[in-house]
Amino acid sequence: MDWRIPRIAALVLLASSLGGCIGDGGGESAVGTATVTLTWVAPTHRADGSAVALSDISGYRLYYGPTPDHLPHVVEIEGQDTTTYELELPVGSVYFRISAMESDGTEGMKTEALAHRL
Amino acid sequence: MRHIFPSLIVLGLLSLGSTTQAEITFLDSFESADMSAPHGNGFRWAGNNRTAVVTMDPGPREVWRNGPRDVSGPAGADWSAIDGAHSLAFFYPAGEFWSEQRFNLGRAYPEIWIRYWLRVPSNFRHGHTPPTNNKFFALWMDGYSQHGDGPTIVWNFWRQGQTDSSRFTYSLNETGQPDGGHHAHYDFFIRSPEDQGRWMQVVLYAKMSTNATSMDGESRIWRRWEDESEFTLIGQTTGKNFSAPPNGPNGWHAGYIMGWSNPAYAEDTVWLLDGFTVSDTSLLDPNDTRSRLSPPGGFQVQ
Repeated sequence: MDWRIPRIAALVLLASSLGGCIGDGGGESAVGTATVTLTWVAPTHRADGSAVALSDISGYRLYYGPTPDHLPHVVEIEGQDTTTYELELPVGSVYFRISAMESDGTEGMKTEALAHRL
Repeated sequence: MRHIFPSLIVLGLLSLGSTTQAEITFLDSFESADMSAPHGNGFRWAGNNRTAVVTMDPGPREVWRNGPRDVSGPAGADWSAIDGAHSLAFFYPAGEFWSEQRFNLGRAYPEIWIRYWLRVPSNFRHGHTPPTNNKFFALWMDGYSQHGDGPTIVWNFWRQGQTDSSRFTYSLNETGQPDGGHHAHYDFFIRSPEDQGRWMQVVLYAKMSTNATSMDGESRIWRRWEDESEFTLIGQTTGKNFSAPPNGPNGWHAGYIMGWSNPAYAEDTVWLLDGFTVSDTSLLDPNDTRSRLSPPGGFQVQ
């Protein structure tokens, strides 16, 4: 995958990204891109096994990139109730990891890298 | 909601921030009092002998020993954890040789960092009967020592001369090689009676070799006492053949804590362990001790 494409596109779309997102009706895909939908379940415990309340979670942090060890793109996803996220990316192989964020900004553990081919 | 190519400005700041935090893949402070509870990244506690989760709430009690339990400890015992209310106890009855907790890391780590707190028994005296080595920690890839084709590192502590204190050593099997013997590292690792009842925090590091001929495998161990702010390197080995075994796994995969005591102890002796942490990045920041959220579950992409 040519990862120059999203960088260029990101610059072009900077204004819209600063706005947060485009509308839900935006189903058009640029040439050579595809939409992925990521889903997950909120963590219910800490690494030591103790329980955690949903209210302790402020959101999620999604990482993606071309290899499991190189995930330079990061998305902040707000809301503890959010468990799905759509992303439009250039076609090719891409890897994802996600972590939960605590209200005080502390990041939880990341999932293992998940591979996907668009 | 659909998002397209988030701002590179935001991405850059987040990426810089995320590099400063250790990537903790497992942490157990035993507060759940359930060693069978699911943990992140596939880690699981495996076979054991004479270990139990203990607490001092309201007095010395065992609350888990291969299952839930509620058994009072000896009167006068101090089983206070260093953090929270629970810790993992290793029981060595007088004259008995073995207390051990095994673990399976859940995946192979080409580089691994392990950190935990360990309390020296309040009546610690190193045994006198030779050979005087006590196992401290072991780490391997496909099988322990001669039971695997890959490497095994075993950290030990021996009697220090004719004293009741201990010195620290390691022994190892390089990939496809027999035991390389014991290597002296650090004198007066534990002083008796001066260090009785003290908590130490240990950091272990092991790196597999790049390939079967590169001879660049490494291991290190640091330690700080509870009242020390920085870790001290107390042992290292470099230039070793720690290559992956022919049939995998491709990295460190399992190990045990404590283990066989060749000289045994003259009295009932109890070690406490707390805050067992695993990472694939450095754990030498002593302030990085928080129990983090487990990873989200059911992560899928369509």
